[in-house]
Amino acid sequence: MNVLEQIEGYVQEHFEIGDDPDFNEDVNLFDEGFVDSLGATEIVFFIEDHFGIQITQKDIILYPMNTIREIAQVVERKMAEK
Amino acid sequence: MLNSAARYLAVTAQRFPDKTAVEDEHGELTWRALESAVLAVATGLLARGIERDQPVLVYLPKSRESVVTFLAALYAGCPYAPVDYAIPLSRLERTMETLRPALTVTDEEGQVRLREAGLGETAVLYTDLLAAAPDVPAVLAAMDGVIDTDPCYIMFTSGSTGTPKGVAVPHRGVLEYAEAVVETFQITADSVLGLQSGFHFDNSTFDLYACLSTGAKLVIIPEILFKYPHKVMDLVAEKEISCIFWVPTVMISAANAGALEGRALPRLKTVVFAGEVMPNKQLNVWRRALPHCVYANLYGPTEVTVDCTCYIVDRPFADSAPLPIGKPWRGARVLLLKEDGSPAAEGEEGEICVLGSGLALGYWNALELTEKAFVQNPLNSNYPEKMYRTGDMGKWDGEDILFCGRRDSQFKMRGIRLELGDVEAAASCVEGVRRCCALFDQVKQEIVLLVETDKPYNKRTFNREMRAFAPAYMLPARFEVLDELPENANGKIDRPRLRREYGL
Repeated sequence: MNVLEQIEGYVQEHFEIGDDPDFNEDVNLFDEGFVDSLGATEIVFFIEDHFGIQITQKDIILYPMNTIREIAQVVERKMAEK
Repeated sequence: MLNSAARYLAVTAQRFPDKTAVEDEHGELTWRALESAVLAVATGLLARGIERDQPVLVYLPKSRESVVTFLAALYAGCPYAPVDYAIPLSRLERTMETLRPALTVTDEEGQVRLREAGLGETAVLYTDLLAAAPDVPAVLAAMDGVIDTDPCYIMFTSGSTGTPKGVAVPHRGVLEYAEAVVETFQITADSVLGLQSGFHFDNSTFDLYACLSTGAKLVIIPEILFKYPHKVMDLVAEKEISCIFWVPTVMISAANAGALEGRALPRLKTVVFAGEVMPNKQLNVWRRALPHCVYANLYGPTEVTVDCTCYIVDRPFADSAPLPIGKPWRGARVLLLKEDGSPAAEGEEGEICVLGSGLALGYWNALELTEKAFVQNPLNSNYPEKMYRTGDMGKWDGEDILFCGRRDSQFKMRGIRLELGDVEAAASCVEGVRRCCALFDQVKQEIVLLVETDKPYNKRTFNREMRAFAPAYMLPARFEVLDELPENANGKIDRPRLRREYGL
């Protein structure tokens, strides 16, 4: 599984999204109500732990992390920097 | 006494020209650079024919540019009216109908949005204003014409019919407030304030004017960061922030997420909160984690210039105990009045009514609303004395006041005031809604929305539609579709019955 698929799998399972037809890699997880505000932190904890990276406050300010694809891009960037 | 709250800038820019005044995620401005930008933008505003007391709508992201624009409007002798950059356009349209701005300062993205919605007539680009060669004598003459009872800013809050109300606050209210903040919390040029609030929310007055009057540094914290409490606290540490004034929602999520654990934050000295009830359970988490800080609970509606009572937390509280809102502060007088207008005895509930020179001038372009809320003090028959009826209930507990809830359908979300009628007005705009009823769950602190419709909406699909008419904090956390809403004998929606049925 690539990075995007791993994040997608986690979000789908952890937030009990299942096979909702409106869910995809480019949907805004927060605006569309798939993930509530507390979930944002949980996603960051997951990716930090799972991929062994550190998301800084600067990353959050500089890069949008509202969709699965955006989150995957940040993770890939951080992994490349390691 | 200063005639304008913007005078602080002139003095501070002289004293600390090369010290950082304000910083956001894109960069920083020294006090000298801030004043230069303000003079240029003020010149640009005057060049576009703006006259004293004409409001300047500020439609910009939470940024240094917003700060420059507010002060430039004041230098040009005009009040500023900040709106949320994420405001739905239908709401912005109603705000503009009430405000009737002479100019709307925005960026390129904002200008496109305004034009597409047919609201672009008064729009002017910040970058174009900034390009003006400063005409210092003209700007100073405009500021000299201001008197301290002129409006400094107009803040929009929720109205019960769905049209936002613009609270017009005079310079003297802001000047007095800034003095009280600086004195009470010992803000100096060495302080660093971490701004949580958006500028369209009057809590930002605390940070902005405390910095302007002392030369302290204003760190504008990006809104997005508050979704990640650990990262916000990282920023507090990294920027060596010494004073925060945050809404309880944000403090609660930091406590609940464990974001304070294992942090020393030796630079943080002062933790102030206001805007909604702060539970002792989470405050105790803060107090245990950061015992060296001073904690203070402020209370007040926008109509009295941000806050009118202050409680410095001076003793331990059990998790379940209520936290007082304290004593009248900064020369305000607070009366607790019963239904018949007589003062409540100790321990008896009364409506919190506020007197003093911090009172707002009224609601912009809404005389009738103003007369209803700003009334003659019933205990004074000797001279006209305006009093603001807050609609909040309180009782005396020794020398301090305890907050006891609302007497109407107003409530708070993330410290932002909301009327149930405002939520219903927005929900009614969604396609297929025949009628709806909004209720507030006091325990969970969330909005419950009951909708009469034939469409197969669920919470997610409904909120997606409703977002076009309402800011995010107005969307329901609980959503139900009903075939028919129950009615009382008068044919009105039977709210008490719905509240019982939903256990609220």
